[in-house]
Amino acid sequence: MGRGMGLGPFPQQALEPIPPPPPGVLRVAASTDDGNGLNARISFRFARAPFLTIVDLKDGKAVDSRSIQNLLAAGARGVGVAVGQWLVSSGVRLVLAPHLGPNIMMVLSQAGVKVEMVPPGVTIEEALRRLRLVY
Amino acid sequence: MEIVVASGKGGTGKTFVASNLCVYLKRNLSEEVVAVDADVEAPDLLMALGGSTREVVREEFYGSYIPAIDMSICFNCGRCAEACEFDAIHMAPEGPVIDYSKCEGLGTCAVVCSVKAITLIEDKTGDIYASETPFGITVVTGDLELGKGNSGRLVYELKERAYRIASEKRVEFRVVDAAPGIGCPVVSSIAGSDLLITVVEPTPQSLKGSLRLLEVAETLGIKTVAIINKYNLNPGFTAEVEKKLGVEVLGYVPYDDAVVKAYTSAVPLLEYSPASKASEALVKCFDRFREGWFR
Amino acid sequence: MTVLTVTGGKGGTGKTVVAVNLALALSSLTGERVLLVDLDADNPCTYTLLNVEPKTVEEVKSFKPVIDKDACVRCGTCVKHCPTHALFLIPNAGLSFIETLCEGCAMCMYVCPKEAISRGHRLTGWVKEADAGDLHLVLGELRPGDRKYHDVMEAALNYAKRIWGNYRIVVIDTPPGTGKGILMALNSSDIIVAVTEPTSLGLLDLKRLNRLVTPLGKPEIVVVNKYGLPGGAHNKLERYLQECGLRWAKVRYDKRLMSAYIRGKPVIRYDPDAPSALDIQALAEMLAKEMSLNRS
Repeated sequence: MGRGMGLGPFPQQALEPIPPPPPGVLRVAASTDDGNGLNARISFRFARAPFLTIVDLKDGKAVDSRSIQNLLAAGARGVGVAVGQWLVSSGVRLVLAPHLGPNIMMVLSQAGVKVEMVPPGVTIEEALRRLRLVY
Repeated sequence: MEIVVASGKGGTGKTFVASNLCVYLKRNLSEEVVAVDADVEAPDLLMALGGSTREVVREEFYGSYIPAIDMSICFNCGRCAEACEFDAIHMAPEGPVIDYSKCEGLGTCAVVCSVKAITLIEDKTGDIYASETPFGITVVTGDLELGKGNSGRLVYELKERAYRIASEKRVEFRVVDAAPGIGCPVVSSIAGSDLLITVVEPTPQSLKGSLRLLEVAETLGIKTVAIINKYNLNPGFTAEVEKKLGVEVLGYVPYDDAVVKAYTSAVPLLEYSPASKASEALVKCFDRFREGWFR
Repeated sequence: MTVLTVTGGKGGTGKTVVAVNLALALSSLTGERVLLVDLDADNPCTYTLLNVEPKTVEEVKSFKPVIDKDACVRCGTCVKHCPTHALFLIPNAGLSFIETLCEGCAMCMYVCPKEAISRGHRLTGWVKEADAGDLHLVLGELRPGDRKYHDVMEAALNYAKRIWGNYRIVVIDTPPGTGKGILMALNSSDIIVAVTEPTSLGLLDLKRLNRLVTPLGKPEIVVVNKYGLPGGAHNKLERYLQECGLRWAKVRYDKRLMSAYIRGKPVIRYDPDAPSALDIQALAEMLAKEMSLNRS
């Protein structure tokens, strides 16, 4: 009835958190349709988007950016919670998204992570400019 | 936008409303529509939309896990049987025996096993198909393995596929035809959707089912509207239905022989008999939805 | 004792109407009290047709974690292991639990290195019971918002099994579908009554149901409900039944059945001369004969 090799103990899709940013740096995250860092386009969906893109901001400049493949998206249930947990554990303090599900909202609000609503399809850089976070 | 059509009780006309909503949306609002048949234990939507003209996806879906015990390592300590919340493992003289019909595949047994004799292996949940149909609707259908319990998991996957197909083709509307009831597959159908249309018949049984469904929708925070189907079978009761539901009623659709005939011909009613009373009433409901939503 | 299971893949074909009326007809025919088991936990409708108010005899519960905030060291082990991400950890706020995502597997309790998680209960639904004169009713009802309907079906079926030794006839009414819950009911039954309707969709779902039923090798009888429905796909359905060599009976399409139904009354008592009532009566007679049950 089953197939494949044993995957145990439990075949969770895991994604290790990234180390938190240095003090004075604001870490921003968005879900993106591609992995092009600052030029990645913001996805319509949040938790199940193919990439999570992280941008570190200091004094109105992006000092670091990276796109990470969203391995959590393949999960069955609770994907919003898993992604929310990853963001919180990775030191993200601001999330850009067109829309967020109720579970991820619960995680982010409990952790005091700010959320800015942005339209899908724009690049992260453009979204940050519109919010006057990059100038 | 994802619109889900559901009802707490079977046979009230979910597939009827969903299939014709697809036709309506395609005619009036969108070049294409992607439909999802989320009733994976009795999938009918593809047939209601005229059947497949071209299959674009056909694959097996392995979305669940089952434990397998390596008996050469197992020393019959019984921890797995004790830890299983679903009584799916019992200790026989020769060692632990798994009752797969009770297993939920969550893996507690594998984690508590002190000698790591239990691994989880992928298990087939069902099949996934996507087909083009004669009236230009792409239908994503699932087929749950007979006698299996992971329907919610399969429904999530179908909605995910529909989303992907819709984004590739830049299709705005997805219509989900849910299973009857309020259990696992229905919760999966509703979760994350933008609008729920509940289809109610003017009978106490159907009203009760829809009220139970509305409780579920409320916990999930989904906006809900209603269509009262076959209202003329019990016209005296419709006012009470409307009052007790307490949500916006898009309209009333009469019982009409044309509906059954349309199914027999495998043509959605709006195409089969646009002048029929049920067609006209249905279009009125959808117009009201369109005005309310796109004002 | 004989267990009859009334099922049918598609929703709304008339399973509950057939089950209730058949149970009543069998009771009249044999003079026996019949046990009726309603497993449609999503929306049990038998009691509205029998006009009784069932009382809870058992609460159906599943595991949920109770977190001891003082003992929790916020290590995140439970969060990593939870298969449905029902737990999350906020550095300065601690561990939180989302009940709607929990499947009740108790993984968190076993993996916690500090024994900070203990067993709590979440209410999934109820097993209820009612005395309905000639029938004794047992039903399962899912708590709206909970998704574990199989648990409730199983609890209701197990409760029924504990008492069904006192009855000669048991009738099980099932929800629509062809999944785990249906298989569970079918495995417990002696005769399977598959209710369908003469429509294309009814036929499609009957074919699917039979892929589950036929391999069980149990006696099956198909009931074509709403027989004579205008515009129906009668020929296609009858051809299929004939090709498969399936025994079948009809219950005629009947406005009088509908008027009994909307009043919340079983047609066989409310309007016994209605065509549908006569058909169900004939079906009951045939089944009683098959079970060799005569008025004792």
